[in-house]
Amino acid sequence: MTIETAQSSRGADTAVVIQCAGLEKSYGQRSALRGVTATVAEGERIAVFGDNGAGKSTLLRLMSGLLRPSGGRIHVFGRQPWGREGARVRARIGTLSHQSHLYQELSMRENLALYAQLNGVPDPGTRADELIERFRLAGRRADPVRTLSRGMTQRVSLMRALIHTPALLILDEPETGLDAAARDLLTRYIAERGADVTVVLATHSIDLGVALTTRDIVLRNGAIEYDSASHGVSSLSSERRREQVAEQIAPRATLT
Amino acid sequence: MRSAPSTLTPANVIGVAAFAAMLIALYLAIVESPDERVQGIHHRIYYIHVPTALVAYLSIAITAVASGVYLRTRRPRWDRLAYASAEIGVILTTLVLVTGSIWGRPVWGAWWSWSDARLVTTLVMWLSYIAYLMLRSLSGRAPGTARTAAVIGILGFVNVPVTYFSVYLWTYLHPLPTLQSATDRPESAILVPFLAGMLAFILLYVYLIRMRMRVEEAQQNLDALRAAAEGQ
Amino acid sequence: MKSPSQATGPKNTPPGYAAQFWLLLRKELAVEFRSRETAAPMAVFAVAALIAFQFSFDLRGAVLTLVAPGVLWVAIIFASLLALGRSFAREDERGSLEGILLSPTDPGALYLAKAAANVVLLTMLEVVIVPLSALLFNLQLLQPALLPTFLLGNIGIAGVGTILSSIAAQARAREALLPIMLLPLLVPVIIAAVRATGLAIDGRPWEDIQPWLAVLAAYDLIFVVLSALLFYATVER
Repeated sequence: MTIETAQSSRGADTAVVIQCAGLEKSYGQRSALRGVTATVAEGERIAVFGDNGAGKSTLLRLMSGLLRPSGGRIHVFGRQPWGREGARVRARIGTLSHQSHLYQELSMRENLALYAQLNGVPDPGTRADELIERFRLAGRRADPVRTLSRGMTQRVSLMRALIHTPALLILDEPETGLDAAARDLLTRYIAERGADVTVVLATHSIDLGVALTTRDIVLRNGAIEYDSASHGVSSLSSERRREQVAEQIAPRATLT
Repeated sequence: MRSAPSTLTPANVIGVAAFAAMLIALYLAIVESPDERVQGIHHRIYYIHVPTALVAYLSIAITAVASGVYLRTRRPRWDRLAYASAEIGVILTTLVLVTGSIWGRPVWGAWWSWSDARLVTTLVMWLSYIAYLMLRSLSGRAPGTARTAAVIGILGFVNVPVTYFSVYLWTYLHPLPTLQSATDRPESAILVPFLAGMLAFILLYVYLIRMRMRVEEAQQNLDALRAAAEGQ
Repeated sequence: MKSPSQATGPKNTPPGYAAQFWLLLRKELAVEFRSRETAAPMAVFAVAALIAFQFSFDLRGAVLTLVAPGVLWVAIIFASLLALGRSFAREDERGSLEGILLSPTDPGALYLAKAAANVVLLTMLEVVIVPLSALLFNLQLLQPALLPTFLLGNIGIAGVGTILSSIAAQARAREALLPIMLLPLLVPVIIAAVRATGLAIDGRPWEDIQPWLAVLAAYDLIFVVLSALLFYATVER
């Protein structure tokens, strides 16, 4: 798909947040992504579906600047997100994955303050306290993350992703990391930020994807199999979206 | 495919040339060259030892440079060159250490001397690049090995002059290079067989590196095919 | 169409190289001192090594001043392997290293912070075992020239060891690979540090020790700068 489809879906004056062109990534000799071309406009919410090994995580890790592409191009906020050149871009991206990215020996406040400072948040301590209040963990703020329950740790890693008020939120299979309460907090946060935050969500759960986003992409074997925006079906009912995505994932999924 | 008969591929031409040059160099070193005044017959190993050493250092230098270029460009060709050159470099360095010991025994009266900066530096370089090869073989074809190995390839080479200087400073006791102790003979008497040896070892290096890079490329293609087949 | 840089979201200004370095160094030290995973085992190991050397070499009389500097540095370098091995392996557990890489942090600042934390650990180790060896072996180890010797030696060991630790952490058989890669690269440090220490114990004048300190300083400068520049290649994914 091209820039035009992104513009047509949200109007001509919408900025492009992510632009991939022929994006490839291989690990050694194994190629995980083979030529993905897609554009994500400001404020869009996109769900990325696909089997294990279809390339969801790889695509999201490329978007968050963690991976260097093996071929093709990726621009986030108009710049390459990886390497030294991508530093300023990464300060505007928040990433949540199945790993907590937290230091077990440090308290939640220390972890959050560290990431706030590394991202250049003006008043890191206050910002950390604010989030801790909001996520109702104030009583445990000084305890080492090691001592927190699983559910609490998940909430802290979500706070870590949000501490610098990212303009792009990348969520890699949050259903495996977040319990119902944390998912609720996330949903409300996204709704509150409105068009200020662009969301890319990779998930196995069609329900979660449809609930949080407005556009569906299905990956298979490292390539885009289906993109609701390029099919001109941006205004389907939730019910129809579920059916469409399930149909796109289904055919060969039973073979693997 | 090439129209020329398969026996005349560039690889074979280089191989035959290397073999011929090696024979000529050996002839010049053993038959043609006169005995040296002080060292007598032992000195003939010089024509093998010194070209081997120079080409060994050249291989390692090529590994370091190719590693740097690989980190910049990320083209697998450069990584293959670095890997192949390190392997050949280690083999040649092994030869250098062996021929050096054989030479040292009659001339210095010892197989090994810890006070010679060249010897110790060569040994340290040898160990560094064995570590490089171990990193590569232990990591298999895991992604990222090319990157991390490139860093070792560069650090190991930078360490060579630093080590040399440290050992040099450690002991002022070092034998004169043989080229100086043999100045009373006509220069061409040692220069011609020496240059023939250099040519032979450089041709051998080029021949081996081409072969090794081809094998590595074929192996990588095979791995890619396997990975693709498993992915289906 | 708006230019991408005008897209919404706050304009946070990431800290500079030096600020990143301080932040990460404080983090390293905080993690280390709370887990106490490394410092104490290092010291115990070094003391045990000294005892083993004592009975291996029968460190008495004339032999002592000849052998002691080497014994001390070998114990330090072996103990340093414990700290260096943990330096990156520890990060793997919860993806914390990825967390840092997701932020705008410069890999060079991350390297320098980890290396500096290892220098601190080595210095702490020496604060324990140097006076202890002075006591046990009756050595004149309270020489001013030993201060720069140990500091420069530590920077050399930690400087090279930290980048190698990052490389080893990604390989199989990391415990074996780290010393295999590290020891050949440390030969100049061993030579210079042992010589400087030996001359200082003998009470030799400053001019005799100086060349060795210069070798150590040159080594540190070359390898720390080179490693800071190359480090990105070891953490890239």
